[in-house]
Amino acid sequence: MTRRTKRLEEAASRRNEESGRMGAAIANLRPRTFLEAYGVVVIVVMVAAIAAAPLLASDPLEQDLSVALTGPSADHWMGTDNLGRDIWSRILNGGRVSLVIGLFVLIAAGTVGVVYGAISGYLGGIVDAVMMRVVDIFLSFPAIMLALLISAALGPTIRNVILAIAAAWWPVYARLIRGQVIVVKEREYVTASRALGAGPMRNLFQTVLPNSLGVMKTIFVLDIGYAILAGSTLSFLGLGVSLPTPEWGVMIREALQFPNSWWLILSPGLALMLFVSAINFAGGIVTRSVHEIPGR
Amino acid sequence: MRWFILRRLSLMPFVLLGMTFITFVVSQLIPIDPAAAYLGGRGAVHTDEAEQNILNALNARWGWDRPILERYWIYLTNLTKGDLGEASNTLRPVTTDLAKVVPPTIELVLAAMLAALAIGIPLGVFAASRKGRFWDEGFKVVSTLAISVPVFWLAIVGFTIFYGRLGWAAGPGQLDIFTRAPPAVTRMVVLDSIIARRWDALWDALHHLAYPALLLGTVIGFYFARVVRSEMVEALESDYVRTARGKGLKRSLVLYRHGLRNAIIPMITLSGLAFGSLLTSVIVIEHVVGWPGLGEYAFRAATRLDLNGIAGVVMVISLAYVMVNLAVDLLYTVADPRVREGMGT
Repeated sequence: MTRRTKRLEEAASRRNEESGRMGAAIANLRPRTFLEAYGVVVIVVMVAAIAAAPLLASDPLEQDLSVALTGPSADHWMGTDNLGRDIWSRILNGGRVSLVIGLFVLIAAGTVGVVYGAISGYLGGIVDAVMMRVVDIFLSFPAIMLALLISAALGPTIRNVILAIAAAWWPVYARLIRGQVIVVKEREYVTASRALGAGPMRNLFQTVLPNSLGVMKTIFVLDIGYAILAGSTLSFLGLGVSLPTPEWGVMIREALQFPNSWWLILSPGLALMLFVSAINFAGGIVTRSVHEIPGR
Repeated sequence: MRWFILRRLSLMPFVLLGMTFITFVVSQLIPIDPAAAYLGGRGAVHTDEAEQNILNALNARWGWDRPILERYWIYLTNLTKGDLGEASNTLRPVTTDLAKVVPPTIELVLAAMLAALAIGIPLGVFAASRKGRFWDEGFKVVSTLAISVPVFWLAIVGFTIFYGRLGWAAGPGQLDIFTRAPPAVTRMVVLDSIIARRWDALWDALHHLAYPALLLGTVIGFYFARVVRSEMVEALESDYVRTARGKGLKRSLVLYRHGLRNAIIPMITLSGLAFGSLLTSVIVIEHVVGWPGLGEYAFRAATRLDLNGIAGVVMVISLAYVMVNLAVDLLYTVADPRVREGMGT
C-alpha cells in the first residue's frame, strides 16, 4: 500500500471519529437539572402507561349508558362521556393514536425531507436549484392551509392526518439537511472516501449523510411534541381522526357539546400539555448531547 | 431609504403572481374534487346519472372541468381586473369576502402583538435579571408550559371560565347583538366606533376584542419572553454591561438601556417569523370565539375545497408576509445604526 492511499484511508477513517462522538454524546444523555429529570420521568411513565393501556383500563369503546356523563368516581376516576365510556381508558388509548401520529409524521416527513435535501445538496448545480425551488413553493404556502386542504381532500383518517402534516413539514427538513450536506461534502474525509472509489450513492448515504444529521436530531426530538399538537389541532377542527376512535384532539372537540361536564375537556388537554411539555423540558438533554461534546 | 422601500413594494405584484401559480400547482398535486366537496361529499364514485348531471353542471358553472392551464389563464386575466373569482363556499366574489374578513383579523392580530410585546419584554427582562434564581426557574417552567399547551384547548377552557363562569369576557363575535354596529368605514369595529364617536360601541368592541387578543398575546408573549431572556442573559454578561454597572448606573437603567437594546434586534426578527406561524393560532382562536375574520374564512375555504377562496386567502397572507418583512427590515434600520449605514441612502 502506497503512502498516499494510506493517508487517504486515514482521512476516510476520520469520519468515524465524528460518528464515534456519538458514543460520547450518549454518555452525555444523563439529565442534569431537576426539570430535565422530570421531563424524562414523565415521558417514560406516559409512554409505558400508553403502551400498557389494555392492562390498565377497560375497552375505550365500551358503552354503559347508565353512567353516562358522570364525574370522576371510584369506578371511573376521570369520569365518563355522554355514552358512558370511561375517560381514563380513552385517554390512554387516545395517547396511542396521538403518539403514532407524532412518530409517523416525523418518520415520513423526516425520511422524505432528509433524502430529498441530501440529494439536492450533494448534487448541487442546476438540479439543486430546481429541487430547492420546489421546496420554496411548499414553504411559501401556509403550512396550516396545506394540511387543512389535504386532510379535507382525502378524508379524516389517521393515515391522512399523518400525510397532511408530513406534507407540510418535509420542506423544512429538506432545507435544513441540504445546508448541512453542502458543508459536510467539502470535508477532507469525503474527498478521501471518493478518492478511494466510493460511488456517489455510497458516498452520500454512508459518509456525508451520517455526519450531517447532528442538528437534525435535536429538531426531531422536539418536533415529536409539535407533531402531536398539530395532529390534535387537525382532529379538533374536525379534519383529523374521526369518531369513535379516541384521540386527544377529538376528545376535546367532543367535549364542546357538554360544557357542563368539565372533566371531559380537562383530561385530554392536560394530557397533551403534560406530554408535550415533558418533551420540551427533556429537550435540553438532546441539544446538549449534540452540541456539547466532551473533550472538545 | 425611499428607494429601498419602493424597490421592495414593486416586488409585490410578482409575489402575487407567484402565489397564484403556487396555489394552482398545489391544487393540482392534491386529488381535489371541488364539485363533490360542494355537494358535501369527498370525491366518492358517482354512478347515479342525476348526480353526475349535477356534478357536470357545477363543474361547468365554476369551470372546474377545463384544463388547468386554461383555468390559470382565465384566473390571471381576471386578476388584472382585480377580480379573484367567485368563492364556491359563500357564492360571493372573493374580493367582497376578503374585504369583509381581513379587517377584523388585522384588528385582532395587532392587538395581540401589542399584548405580546407588553407581556413578553418585561417578563423576559425580569427573568434574565434573576438568572438561575427562583423566579427565573419559575419562568422556565411556566414558559415551557405556555409553548406546549394546545392553543385550541386553552382558548376553550379560558372562554368557559372567563365568559361562562365569571362573566368577565364578552361573548362570541365582535359586538354584542344588542349593540348597534357603527357604520362600516374601515370595518375594524374599534376604529369605526371612534370615527363615528360611538363610545358605547367602542367600549363593547374593546370588551369583545380583549379575550382573543389577550389569549393570543399571552401565547406569543411567552415565545418573545424566552428570546428576550436568552439574549439579555448574553448581553448582561458582556463587558459593556459590566462597565455600566461599574460606573454605578442604576440597575434598571443598565437592564433597559444597555441590556434590552441588544435583545431588540433578535426580537424584531422573531416577530417577523412568529407572524408566519400565527395563522394556525388565529384560525383556532377565531373558530372558538366566533370572530368573523380571515382565520375562520381560511378554515371554511380549505375544508370545503373552495379553490378561489383558498387562492385569495393565500394571496392575502403572502402579501401580509411581504409587508411584515419590509417592516422588519425598516425596524432594523431604526434599531441598529450599523444597518442604516449599510444601506447607503
